[in-house]
Amino acid sequence: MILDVQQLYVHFPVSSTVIRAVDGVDINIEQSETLAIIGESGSGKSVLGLALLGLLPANCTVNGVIRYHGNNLLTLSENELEMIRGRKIAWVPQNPTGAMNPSMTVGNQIGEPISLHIEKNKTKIRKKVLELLQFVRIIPPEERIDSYPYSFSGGMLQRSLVAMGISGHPEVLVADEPTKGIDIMNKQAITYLLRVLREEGITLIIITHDLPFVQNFADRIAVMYSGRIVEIRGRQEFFDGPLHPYSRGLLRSLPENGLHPIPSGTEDSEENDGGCRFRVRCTFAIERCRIEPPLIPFPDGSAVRCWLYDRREKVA
Amino acid sequence: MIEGRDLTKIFSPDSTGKNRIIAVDNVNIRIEAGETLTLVGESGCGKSTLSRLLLLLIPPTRGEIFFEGQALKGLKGKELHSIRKKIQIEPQQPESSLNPRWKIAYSICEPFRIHPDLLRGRQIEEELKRLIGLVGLEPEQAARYPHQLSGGELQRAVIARAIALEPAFLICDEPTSMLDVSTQASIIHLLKTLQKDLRCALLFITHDQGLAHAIGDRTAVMFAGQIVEEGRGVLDRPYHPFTRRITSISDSGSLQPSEPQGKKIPGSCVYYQFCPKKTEKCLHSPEMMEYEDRRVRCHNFSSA
Repeated sequence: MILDVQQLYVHFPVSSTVIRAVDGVDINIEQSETLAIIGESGSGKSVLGLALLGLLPANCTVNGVIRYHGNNLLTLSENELEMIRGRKIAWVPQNPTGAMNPSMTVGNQIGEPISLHIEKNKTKIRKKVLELLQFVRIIPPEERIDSYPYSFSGGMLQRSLVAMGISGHPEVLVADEPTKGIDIMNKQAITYLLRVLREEGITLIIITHDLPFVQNFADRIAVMYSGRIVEIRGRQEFFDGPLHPYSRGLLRSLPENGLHPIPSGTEDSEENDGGCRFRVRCTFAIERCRIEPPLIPFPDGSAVRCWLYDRREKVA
Repeated sequence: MIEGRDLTKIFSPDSTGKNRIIAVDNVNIRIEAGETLTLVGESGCGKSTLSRLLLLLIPPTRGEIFFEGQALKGLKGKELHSIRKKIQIEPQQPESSLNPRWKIAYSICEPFRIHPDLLRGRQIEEELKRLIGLVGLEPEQAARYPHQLSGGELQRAVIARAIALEPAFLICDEPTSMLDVSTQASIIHLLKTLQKDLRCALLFITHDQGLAHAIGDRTAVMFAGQIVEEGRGVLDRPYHPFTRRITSISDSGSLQPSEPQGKKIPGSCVYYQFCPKKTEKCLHSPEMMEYEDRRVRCHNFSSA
């Protein structure tokens, strides 16, 4: 196990209320696995990703444990974190246009993690950056290395971010929506890159709502809803037969499955009344759902947060 | 309904005529009332320029646009003003197409301010209520500012504005590429319902072949400014090498990305550098050929 997240809470106090972006997440991430975290906008998946990097904004409160090789990342000092962030655990942000510094060449930005963590010699850094550009198919690298971000297309910027993410040889790469808004050719290129990285043994955490994208190469799928993980399954099992009603809804809303949207709840569904949070949108909701179900484990390692799968009930 | 004939748009960034970009290259396109044409293609292939030509936002370098049988060339001022209200767009990023300082309701009513002869005072307020209900927003949400709504809600607001004048032709430029799958499904349902009610022609631009499949009557595939293939079931039975290529990718990423081979040869087929099946004939750009229900721009294809 490379990362072990236990009872992670990330709350944002906003005027009179508290936004519970991540609200009690438990998950183990194995060495060299590819984990896809899926869920709708606002489900807390990006905040979970940022928490793994120790990049949360200052105005939030964080509780819980994120163990990386035994060390709790949440209790490390900023200096200790610096040794891990970008070097051991790296981040590929979403929105490539906004993530790049417009006044710095792409080559210098890709080389930054190298110069911070590995190598100070400028010639050697440049050589390494050229290799990285070649790897992410920004060619010819010699002509591109000194370009500024504005002259790159969206897909090229996205690939540059992947290059930046892997430039410090991380063990874990967290990619936030790596396929959002890019066309099929670029998507193919990104998928190809991530596959190569996976084969090299990098642990990949892919945050996305692009289900077809993860369908063919994630090992496990974690579904987030309203700050919680509601289902963890092997990829094949998940796409063959999702368990949680929300997961079923997600798959049914894909174009190839008939574009059936998940019914929207009312405004008060956002409130945390202690019951299952999906209840108001759920077609299977029963009286018991007023009490929130725990993450119910299955023998094969899957888990689902739904009373429909509570076997103790059947025994009793 | 709406038709573009031999549309070409050339951008010349400098006056010398060097670095010319042929964004749209001899495109023929026709969409009937009530019909949906999906347009697929890579970033930068000219999809958005084509939609801007059809929206009459930029003039074509060559070619003509016909709307409801009327040639639009040479139309000025008032006549064009009255045609414009029948042509609307649903953009990819609703947040950047709404004024951040205006409340949602004020944005939705903007078309009535641009065309003041249609509705007045009370009528506008009633129409606003109707539109908000139609797209599934709460009146309370219409009283907010754009930053207070989610992406899906903003997209609904922009749809309300786009249909306010009951357009005859609506262009949707990747309206759901930034949304999650469930929100995407509900937005697509909304668009299809509205299209049925308004009997409008729809040009749906997308990267998502699954989506193109699910909603389009016909599909047009664009590459380097040209429509290379068009017809029914294009993505199921692709004929053109480029369409074959994009339909065989299927998100698996198992294929290595293709790279152009050799230099671009002037006058050759636009797909020449990438095509695995190119022959000598392909050094001359092929014409669009018609085969029953399909149009294909390739020398090496025959319907047999």
